[in-house]
Amino acid sequence: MKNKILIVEDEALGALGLSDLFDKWGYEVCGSAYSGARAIRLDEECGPDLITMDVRIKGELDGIETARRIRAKKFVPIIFLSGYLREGVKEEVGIPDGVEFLNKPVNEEILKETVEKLLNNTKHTGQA
Amino acid sequence: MSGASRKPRKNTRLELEAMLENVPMAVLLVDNETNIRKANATASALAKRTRQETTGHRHGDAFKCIHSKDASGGCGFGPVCGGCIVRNTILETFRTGINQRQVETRGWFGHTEKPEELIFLVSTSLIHFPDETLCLVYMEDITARKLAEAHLIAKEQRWATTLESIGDAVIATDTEGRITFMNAVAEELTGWSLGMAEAKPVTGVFNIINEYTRAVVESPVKKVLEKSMVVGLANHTILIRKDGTEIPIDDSGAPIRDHDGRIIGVVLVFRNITERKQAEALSGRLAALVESADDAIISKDLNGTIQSWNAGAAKLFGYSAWEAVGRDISFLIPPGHADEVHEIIRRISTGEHIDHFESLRLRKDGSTIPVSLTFSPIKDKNGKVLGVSKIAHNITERKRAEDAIKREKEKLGLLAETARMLLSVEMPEKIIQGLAGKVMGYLNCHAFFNYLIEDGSQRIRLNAYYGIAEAAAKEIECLDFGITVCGCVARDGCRIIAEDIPNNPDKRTEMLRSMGIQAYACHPLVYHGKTIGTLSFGARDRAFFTQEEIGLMSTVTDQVATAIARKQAEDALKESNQKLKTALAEKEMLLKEVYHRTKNNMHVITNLIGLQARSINDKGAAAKTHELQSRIQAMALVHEKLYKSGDLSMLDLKDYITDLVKALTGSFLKGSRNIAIDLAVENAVVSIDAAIPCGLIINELISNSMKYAFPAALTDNTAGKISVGLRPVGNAQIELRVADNGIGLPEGTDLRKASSLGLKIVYNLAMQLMGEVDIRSAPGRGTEFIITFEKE
Repeated sequence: MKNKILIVEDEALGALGLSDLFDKWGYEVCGSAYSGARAIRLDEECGPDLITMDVRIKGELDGIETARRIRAKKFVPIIFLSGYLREGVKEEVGIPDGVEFLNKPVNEEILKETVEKLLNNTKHTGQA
Repeated sequence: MSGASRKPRKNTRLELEAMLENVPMAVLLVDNETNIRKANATASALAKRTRQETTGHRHGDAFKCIHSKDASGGCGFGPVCGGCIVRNTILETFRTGINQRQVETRGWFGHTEKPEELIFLVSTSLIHFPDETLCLVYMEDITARKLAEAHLIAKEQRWATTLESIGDAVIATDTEGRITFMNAVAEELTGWSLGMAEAKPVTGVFNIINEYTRAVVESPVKKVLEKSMVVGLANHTILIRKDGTEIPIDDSGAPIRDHDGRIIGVVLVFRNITERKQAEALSGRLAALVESADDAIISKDLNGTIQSWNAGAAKLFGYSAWEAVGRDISFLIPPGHADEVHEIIRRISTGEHIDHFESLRLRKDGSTIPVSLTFSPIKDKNGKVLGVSKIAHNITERKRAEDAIKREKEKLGLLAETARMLLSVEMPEKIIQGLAGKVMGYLNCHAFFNYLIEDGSQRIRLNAYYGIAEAAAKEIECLDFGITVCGCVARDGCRIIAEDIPNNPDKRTEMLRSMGIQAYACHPLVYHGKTIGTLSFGARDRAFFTQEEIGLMSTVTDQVATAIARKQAEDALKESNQKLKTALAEKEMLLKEVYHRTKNNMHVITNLIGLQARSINDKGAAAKTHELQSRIQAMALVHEKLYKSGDLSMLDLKDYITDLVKALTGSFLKGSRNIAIDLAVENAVVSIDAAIPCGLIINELISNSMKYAFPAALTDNTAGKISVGLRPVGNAQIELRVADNGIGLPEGTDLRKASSLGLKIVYNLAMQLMGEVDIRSAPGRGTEFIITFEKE
């Protein structure tokens, strides 16, 4: 059973690149959203095991707020991706666990390790 | 005895004749032939004959009857003698033996040119003498009485005619109060005809009551008879006519007396006074109107002497009617207006009417009062001007209101002028001198001072002034906060009105007192809560200002403060605008630089890729590298367009696509491929966010067509064609169309599940643009992509 990943990214080619990588690594990309509202809907529809979340996205909700709303309902590990990660953004997000922050452009190896780590942690802690 | 009686004594005839001789009545003794046997003295006198001339003659001959000459036989033989009453009466007496009594007859006597008419009564008495029977004829001369009677009748008739013809009603009664006479007017007024009323009691016909009490008024006839004198009727008497209608009458009654002064009746004379009553009522109403009018109503003769003076005049001018009537009007005329009166009287004399003439008049207390005067000539029945009626209306209130309006207008004009002055200058503080001068003129002030607070200090500096000497101004050029009125106002930001300064113990006003200023108002120049100076006005001739004056000063002060502050705000705004412009220009420069460098870096990248590609031997890998190069170039072109465009965030797709397609097809058409490019791109300005995806989509689709649509185009001469179109749809959308007439897409191609990177890119970018993709393709019949996306 492949792990499902939801990509939240407003740059089409960025989303395409991530999708390609996850495909290559044996994950199923269950959805790709350009806005926070669409991300929340797709999360409900496909129930991903992990979400990659661009901080700057189209629409009224930014990535952080979208993540908060999704995590308010259930636990799902989230990797925040941003061209520029501000100091103290972790504290700002305020989600204590199951969250990682990566700078864009992302290093493929670090992304692969992070995804694996988060998915493993979920399994170990039994959270789903 | 009877024998003795039948046989008269001899002397009886003589005795009789002697007896009759001196009777004061004409007596004749005649025979049956009418011969006069004897005429007494009176008869002879009547006939104007001697005794001899009458005796033995017929009576007509004796009396010289004019008919005694009609025939030669004399009296009794004339043609008319058969009708002679005297003769017939005598003969009748003889014939019948019956004595006649007082038979009236008349005749003309005297054989002269002027015979005399005599009227007399004839009585007869047979007298039997022994020898004969004779007739005693008594002739009563009533000529004089008859004449008098005729005169009386004529006189009565004249009176009757007069009574009939006069305008007054006349009723005459006897002493019993019964009506004996009514004239036509009386008939008309009472409604009774004389025929109906005659002999009726006057009270039934002349029925009068009191107008107010409606009680029956005592009969004037009764009063006249009781008092034997003329009586007037009581006032307010109403006559009730026969038909019940009522007429107001005015009247008198008088006794009728005979020759001896005995009252033989009463005459009532009365008239209908309806019209007079109405006229009286009207004039009464007019008089009341005049008296109750608020306006002064005065009449004067053409000499200017006052004839009447109503209550309004007394109230307006302060003189009572008693004081004014009879005086010359000139006491009402203020100095300098004398000519006016003469001119008015001159114009009125010609019958002119003068309306609403506005002037001044003097009151008793010496004050003048503004009045609106209306003059009309007073004329007699013939139109001759007798005097002038004058109505004076007090227009003090109106004048006051007019003055207030005028002053208000002036004030608004002044404020408009000061506002205009302040708005039109660069440096408002420089024109305060001229501006305050205007305000001073309006307020009738004698000095003003304008101080401005020196920035960041506790002092004020004199900016403009008027009404003091230059040396004095030097002394007060710079003042510390507090101490003086202006210094306090500047410090506290509150206005100070100093009044009655000569008697004001306030130390702060000392300097003003030394300048002779009695009233002083100092207003702070405040803008947005910040005091920037003071503006003050002073008067030397009065100790107080009115609220209106202080209000105006306050308004002008606010205007000045606003103008100065506006100037300061403008300066600040100009400065900040300048800073913004500079900052913007710097930013634009920076942005252009960024685009430029980005474009250059992308060119470096494509060059690097190109170098790399040439070292790749694998044809497939090299082709992919070229694709990569092409994509980067499409992006670089966007940055180039941006830094070249005036607007650094927007660019026109027409310009961009035209260049992009040229660059793309140029590289593909380096060989001799027979493919035509058809461009139909309209203007569409979009942001960089739309331009890059759009450019990349076009790049992928044209590359696709070039690579796959025309596999045979290299060898045969079939004309290949690629069309690129772009047009706005409505206001918000843009439609991009890329088509070819090639072999078409493989059957069952689903863009969403496309495996080729090109189509994946197209689909994802279209989604990023929030666009819709429509693909029309059939084997051998070409391919058409239509992408509709939002402009923003």
